[in-house]
Formats: sequence, structure tokens, C-alpha cells
Amino acid sequence: MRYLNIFIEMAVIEFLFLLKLEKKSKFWVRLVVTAVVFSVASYFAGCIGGLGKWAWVRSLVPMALGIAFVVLCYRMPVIKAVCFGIISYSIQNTAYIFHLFIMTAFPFMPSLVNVIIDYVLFAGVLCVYWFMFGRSIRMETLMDVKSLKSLLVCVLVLIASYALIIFERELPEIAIAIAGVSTIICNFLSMALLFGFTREDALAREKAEIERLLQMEETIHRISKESIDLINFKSHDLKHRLDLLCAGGKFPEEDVNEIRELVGVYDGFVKTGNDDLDIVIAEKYLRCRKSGIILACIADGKRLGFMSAGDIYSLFGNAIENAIEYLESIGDRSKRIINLKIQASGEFVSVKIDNYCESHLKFEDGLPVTNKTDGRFHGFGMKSMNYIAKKYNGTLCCELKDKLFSVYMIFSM
Amino acid sequence: MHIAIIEDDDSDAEVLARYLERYSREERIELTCRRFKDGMDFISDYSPVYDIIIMDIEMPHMNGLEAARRLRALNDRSSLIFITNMAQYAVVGYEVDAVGFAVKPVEYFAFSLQISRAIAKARALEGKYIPIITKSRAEKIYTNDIKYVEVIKHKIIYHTFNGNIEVLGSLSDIEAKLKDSDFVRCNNCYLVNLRHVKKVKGGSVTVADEVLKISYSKKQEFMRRLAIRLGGGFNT
Repeated sequence: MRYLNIFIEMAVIEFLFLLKLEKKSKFWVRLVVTAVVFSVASYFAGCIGGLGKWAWVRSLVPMALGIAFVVLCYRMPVIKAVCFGIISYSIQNTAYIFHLFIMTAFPFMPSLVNVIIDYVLFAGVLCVYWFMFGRSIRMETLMDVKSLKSLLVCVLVLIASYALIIFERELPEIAIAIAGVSTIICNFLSMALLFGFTREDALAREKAEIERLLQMEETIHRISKESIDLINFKSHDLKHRLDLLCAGGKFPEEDVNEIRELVGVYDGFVKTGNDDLDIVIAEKYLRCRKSGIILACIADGKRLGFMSAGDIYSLFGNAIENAIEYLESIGDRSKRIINLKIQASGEFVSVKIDNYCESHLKFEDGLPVTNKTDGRFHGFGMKSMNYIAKKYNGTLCCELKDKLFSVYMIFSM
Repeated sequence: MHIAIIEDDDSDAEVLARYLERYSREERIELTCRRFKDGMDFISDYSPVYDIIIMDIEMPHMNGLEAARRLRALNDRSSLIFITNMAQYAVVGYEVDAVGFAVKPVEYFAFSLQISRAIAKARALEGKYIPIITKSRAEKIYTNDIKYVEVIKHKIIYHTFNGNIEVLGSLSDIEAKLKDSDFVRCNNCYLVNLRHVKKVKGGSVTVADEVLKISYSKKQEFMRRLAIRLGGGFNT
């Protein structure tokens, strides 16, 4: 009966925690079939007798089945599935240890009360873990952590849990108490550690994004002021020059060109159909102009309606900024061009940002590795862009081909 | 490659023609070009022989964007490059599926970038014929007609719009034939023609009218290739 419990509790934990993750086809069929089959198997595992000292081996069956449950029902790499399985086992194990304490303290309780306490403890522990880890960070981000690191932690936890289980019957009560407490602490800490990994990454990304947003806001205020100043100054200049033209009667080449230049200032303020995108482009345009960089956009901004303002600032701001920083280091001014293209293609929205690039780049996981010396804090631009793309179920990838560095993205509409 | 230049200003047209000549020389690609002074002229005389059309936006009789719209209405699928005085005007180039644009005065490098793109797109659109040997005879299939290729042990089934064609062969066989094109594995048995991908949702991809499964391990690479193709980074 206990072994059946192990499997069922694991299955419940997994179902709850993995609620938002990608499931395999015919999920409910798989769920029901595996639940029933594995439950029966776990029950019979518990019935195998005559193992004596090796009785604990039986508990490996429901544990393995609990892991298999994840592998069979959810779409994820096998290592991740094993990690989740072990995590759910450790949560279940924590509840069991509490139960063990109570049973040891009150050995003569009727079996019904025993069962009720078992479920109450399970629900209690599950709630605690759920509120601590299940909600605040989406389980999906756990998928981003390097799986071997997670697997190592999970395996260590498993060993710690099993140490208690193997020797459960033989140890004096005081030893059980100590081992039990340390196992619970170990389980809890390992969860904190695993989620700590993702929290660290997520926090660093958030920090970089917030800084960028703050910078953006500051810049926006500055643009408005700068624009108005510029317009005022330039229009004054313009009036003066027109006066000269009229007075002279002739049209000197330089004056006409200079007027073209003045008019050209307004050129970069495009209307893409998306206000947030327009602001990013306007800000970057002024920056480009100062460095003699051409920012050429063909953008169907309306298609980006699904993206929040902050994400648009961050995504496109990062991408264009990376290009600008690189192009500023290129001596040949004719090569200073950034192309931005956003258009719908069937049920997809496709984005492409490219610039001339004569460097060699190292790629890791499809993304270029930063070539800035302070590797820890830079390179977040690219990671941030990737994070945002994934947030909207999009895909981001880069390519360096024929001296052109391109960032591609697609999103399903 | 056949190129049409639609530009009302003679000296501007001259510059573009010179650039094309230089591009043709440097990249060793044969280009023929013909010049039109006006959008109206081009459209009234229209025939679908051009691979690339270079269109000035600011023209006296008909605005370049309008001309492009009419062209697309005539089912023209050529690669379109705009030339303009103000970058603002070209922002809506997506409406007519433009490859890109260049701002006057046009510089060679900027122009060559767009031409390269236009050529890549024109070539990708072309598709090619691959030879196959069925049980009864030797045939040629046009790659654009293939929705996807199915591989079962030593059998290859080409799923095309004109029905399925079965041949004997191996996976490495096909990969050699379809090298450098838009075919990507979505799982162990299917090679999908990215050209006909309509939708991707969860674990399935809709190719033309059929739905196939994408395996988890192949999905990321598949989406990357799709992103590159849709963004205009064609394989050539």
C-alpha cells in the first residue's frame, strides 16, 4: 500500500508542477493509462515478500515509475524529465518522513487515522513547496538551467533520501529522528538550490532589462527636448537661408544641399504602425546619424501588437544598439548600414536585423558569444533578446554569412 | 538575371546602371538590365520576364509604391528594390514584399547589399528540378512542388501537389539531392519543404494541407531554419 502511495503522490506532484509545460500528444490518454498501469505495478511491487534486508529495493519501483510517468507524458529532454521525477520524489519523501516521525512517536494509532494523517501531511508539504517554488518562477525557466548541474543535485538528494530508507528498520529511534530531519533539510535545500540557479539568471536578466528601460525613459524625455531644440534652431537657420536664396536670385549648389541636409533630419522619424517601435527607431536613428550610420527600416509595426512596450524597447533597442556599437568601430563609412525588416509571412511574423560585419564570431547554442572583455555583464543583451523571444513563444537565431551579421526572429500569430 | 530599372531621372538611372555593371563584374553574375522612365510605361508594357525590379519611389506620374502595388496585383513575383529620397517612404515596403531599399544618393555598398538579397530571393523562388528513378522510368520533380519527403527504411516517398511518388533510395541520397535548399528534417522520417510551411503549433507543423509531427529534438533547429528563410536569408 505504501508503494502505491509513493507513486500516486509523485504523480500528483508532477501533474501540478508541470501543469504549464508542453505535453505529449494524446496527453490525457497517456496520463490515465500510465497512471493506472503504474499504480497497479507499484501495488504489486509492495506485495513482493521474502526480501529481508533488501526490502527497500521494492521502493525503487514506484520511484522509477514516477519518473517514467514524466518521460512518457511530457515533451521534454529525458534528463529534465528525470530531474523533475526525482524532485517530486523528494517532496513526497519529505511528507513521508514527517509521517514516520508521527508513527514513531505514536506507534499504536488505528490504521484509518494513520491514512488520514498521511494524506494531510502530504497535502501540507505539497502546499508549502507549491507556494515556495511552484508559482513564483514558472517551471519553464527551470528548463533553461544546464541539465547536468540539476541532475547532479537531484542524484545527491536521492542518495540522501535512500540512506534513510535503507536503514529505516534497523536504526534506533534517535538515529531515525536525526537522519529524518537532515533528509528533510537536504530535500528542501536542494529545491532552493535548483530554483536558486534559475532565480539568479532571471534576476540578472531583469536587472539588465530594467536598466535599459530606465535608460530608454530618460532618452525619450531627452529626445523630445532635443527634437524641439533642434527643430527650433534648424528652422531659424532655414528661414535665414531662404532669405539669402531669395535675395541672391541664383541657387548655389551648396545651399540647396544644405537645405536638403536640414530636411533630412526629419527623415528618421518613421511611422511603422506601432508607437513603441517608432520611439525605439527614433532614438536609435539620432544615435546612428551622429555616427554616420544608416538605419533602413521596412517594418509592419502593427504585427507587433502582441508585445509589451518594455519588451519592444528592450528587444529592438538591444539589437540595434549591438549593431551600432559594432559599426562605430568600422572605418569604411559606406559600410555603416543597419537593415531592419519586420513583416508578416503567412501565420508568422518575421523579423530580421542585419549589419555589415567583418569580424569572426564564436557561436554558442546558436547565439554569438560576447567579445567584450567583461564577459559577465555584457552579452546579456543577446540573452535578454533570446529570453524575450522565448517569452512570446518565438525563436531567435543569428547568422554570420558573407560578412553580414543577421539576427532572425519568428513568432506565430 | 533580368533586371528592370524604373527611374525618371537620367543621371540617377545612369548611376544604377553603372553599379549593376560593377556588381556583375565583381560577383561574376550575368545581368541584363532595361530602363523605364516611368511606372505607367512599365506596367502597360508588362511581361513577367524580370527577376528583379528596381523602382524609384518619387516619380512624376505614378508613385513607385503605387506602381509596385499594381505589379503585385498582376501576380508579379519579382524581387523588388526601392530607391528613395526619404527612408520614411519606404517603411511600408512590406506591403508589396520589397526586399529592401536604398536612399539617394545611392552608394555602391548599400546598393550591392540589396542586389545580393534580391538575387538570393529570385533564385530561391526558382526552385530546381531533381532527377529521380521510379520503378518504371526516370523522372524529374520540381522542388517547389514537393510538400515533404517521407523516408521509411529504404523507401522514399515524395509527397507533391500532384500526388505521391515512391522511389527506392536512402536518406543520404536525398540529402545530397536537396542540398542547399529549403528542406529541413522535422523528425526522423520527414523532410519538410519550408516553402510550404503554413503553421507551427506545439508539436505539429502544417505543411500545405497536411499536419506532421515535429520531434522535440528537431524543433529548435527547424524553427531556426524557418526564421532564417522567412527573414530572407535564403540558402543559395
